[in-house]
Amino acid sequence: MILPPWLRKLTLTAHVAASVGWLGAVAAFLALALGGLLHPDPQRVRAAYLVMDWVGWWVIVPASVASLLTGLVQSLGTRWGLFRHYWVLIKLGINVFCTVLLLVHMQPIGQMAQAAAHMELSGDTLWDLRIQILLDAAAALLALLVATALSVIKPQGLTPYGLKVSSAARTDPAARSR
Amino acid sequence: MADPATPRWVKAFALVTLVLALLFGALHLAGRGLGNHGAHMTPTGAPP
Repeated sequence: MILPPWLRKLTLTAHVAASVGWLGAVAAFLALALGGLLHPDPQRVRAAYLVMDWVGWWVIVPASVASLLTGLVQSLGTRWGLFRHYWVLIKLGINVFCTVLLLVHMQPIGQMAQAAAHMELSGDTLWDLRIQILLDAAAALLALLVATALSVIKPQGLTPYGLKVSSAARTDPAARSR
Repeated sequence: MADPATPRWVKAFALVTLVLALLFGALHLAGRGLGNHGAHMTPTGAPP
């Protein structure tokens, strides 16, 4: 089903806002993870991990889910399709992968915040976990930057399914919307 | 007529992704970090 222009623009705006918001929130999260790891003041370190939990649940998780849902609506409701172009397919993969990984990793982030609420996090306290949170944030930021670049560049290339649909559309114009 | 072959950028992307995924997985395991999620602390949040 092809969306009417006004609805397509509305969902596109929502998708861009959610996706770019997700990217920005992850950048802030990375800054907090870096500060939490390196800052000498234990109080600021504790504050960083407490804020990370809030930012995670109240900004990053909603933005990731909104980005995924609006992206699905955008692709299925326009002629781009979900499986026709490699760049759309790869973006879907990045989005699903990052969302699942984020949800899985919110548990240790919550535990880190719980620890920060009850104890001083100085020196190498929970060092491994803090390093992992930093690495996860850096990896997520890289993946989201790649997704953003794919959205802007829209590199050419049809998947085998896209080629099939494209050749079917040449013989039967009604197949274009399928 | 579209080229039925997989575009070069997709192949390059797949290769780079594979390398980064392996690197990330290795770092994860080496750090004993989130491979066993939640095993770092007691349920109260205190370290074991």
